[in-house]
Amino acid sequence: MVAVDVDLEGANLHTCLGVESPRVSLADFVAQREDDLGKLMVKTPIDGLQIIAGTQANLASAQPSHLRRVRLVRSLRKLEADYVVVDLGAGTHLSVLDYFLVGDDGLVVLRPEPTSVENAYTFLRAAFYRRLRLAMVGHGVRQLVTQAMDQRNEKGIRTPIDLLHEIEALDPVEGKRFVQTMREFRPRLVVNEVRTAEDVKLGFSVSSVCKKYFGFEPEYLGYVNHDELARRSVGLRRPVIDVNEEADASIYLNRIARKLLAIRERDQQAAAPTGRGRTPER
Amino acid sequence: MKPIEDQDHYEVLELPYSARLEDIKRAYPIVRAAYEEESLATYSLFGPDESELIRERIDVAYRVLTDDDARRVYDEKIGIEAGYTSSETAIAVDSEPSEASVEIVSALDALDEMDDLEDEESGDWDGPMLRRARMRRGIEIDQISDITKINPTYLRAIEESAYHDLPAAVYTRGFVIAYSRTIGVDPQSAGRSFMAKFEEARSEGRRSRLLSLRR
Repeated sequence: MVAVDVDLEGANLHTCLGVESPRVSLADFVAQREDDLGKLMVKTPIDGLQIIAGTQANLASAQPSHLRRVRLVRSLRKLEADYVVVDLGAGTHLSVLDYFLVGDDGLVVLRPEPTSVENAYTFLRAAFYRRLRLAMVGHGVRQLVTQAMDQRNEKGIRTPIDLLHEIEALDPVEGKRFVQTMREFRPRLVVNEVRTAEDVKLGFSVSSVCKKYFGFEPEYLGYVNHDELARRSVGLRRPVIDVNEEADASIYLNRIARKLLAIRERDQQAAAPTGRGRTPER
Repeated sequence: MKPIEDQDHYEVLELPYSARLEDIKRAYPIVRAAYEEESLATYSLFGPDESELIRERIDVAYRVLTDDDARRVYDEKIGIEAGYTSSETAIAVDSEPSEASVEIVSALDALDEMDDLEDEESGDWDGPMLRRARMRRGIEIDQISDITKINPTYLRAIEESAYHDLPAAVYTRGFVIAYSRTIGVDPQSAGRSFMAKFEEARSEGRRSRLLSLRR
């Protein structure tokens, strides 16, 4: 298993995993010093887990160029590992969206606070539109999606459902593709730092609101209880599960991991007749 | 995919047309909670007016679908076959004696579905495990306190396995049993395993006090 820190402007995954100063990092790939992502993997203190750190990025331009990014996204899928976990930065920069969409599963973690919920919606909206733009074929339709991404567009398209109506009017085949994309877009939600049973329900509510407002339905994977040990484990530079497997946060995280694996199995079985599952990259 | 104003009652409640009465009753509070006035989930997407409209739509949908006659008429109107069998099971659910006036069955099943119950099967209960079971069932401490009349401070002490903040064994046992019953956990097994840990912690406490006295 390999963890990749693509948050080049705020890399800290290596610290959480107890790798002090990795000798190679993703910055070497961005700066074209190394073309083989696999050679940037570094061991961590945890058995079976390697990391591609995001450290030592060029302060002048941490983000890869467009071409380099496309290459990175492709290389991520080709990494030799059973599982590749990609740690994204905040915000809705195109690079973040592309790294998010390249995965078989995309996890969105939110906290029960208005600011976090707002960020989650902004991100989900952006990721969905990005996905949509990649899925649409016709030039006119693509333009329509780009227009809709502007919240104050002239056409008055507010939600993906409005956009769907516009697209259906323009091209029914693309409309069908739109609905298909909508159905397949299933980001997973995790609610972190849960303190009350009310907080637990937030995941269901957000999922329901997404369905009604955006038309796609995120899958609520689970929640993690607020646990002081989780904070302390960062101080110890060890994953909380490694610090204490019996801790509340660890038990919740284990559950989420198991659920995620079960979902993959379910989806793979559903997609079995057509061979491999979806590959979001284009 | 339709905007909310064009959705039928089933779509509004996020239910299949074959939904049974108990499914509807289960789904309603979960779906509605998202659009409550104070809901975090609508923040930045729906304004108060929109949320109110959606709440009204949800309430109407619920009223129609939980009334056998109204539902039949409605189903005919939107042209679906009544493929559900609601009445018998529904009566059974309704006639069950309700222990408490507080609505605590809401998100229950959906939450249960989300988590496997592996640590409950072990039957070896401690405070955090009880709390996890409570959270999964969507029940707040205050609701348990309302029902059991136990001070929330003690309920929290139980959840934190803060054995030294709890009263004498005979009371604590009663609290743990009442707590477990309220959240739907086997009170006997929870009481037994929790109290074993309680006694152990208390006797260790006594031993160390004795040791420090001797010193």
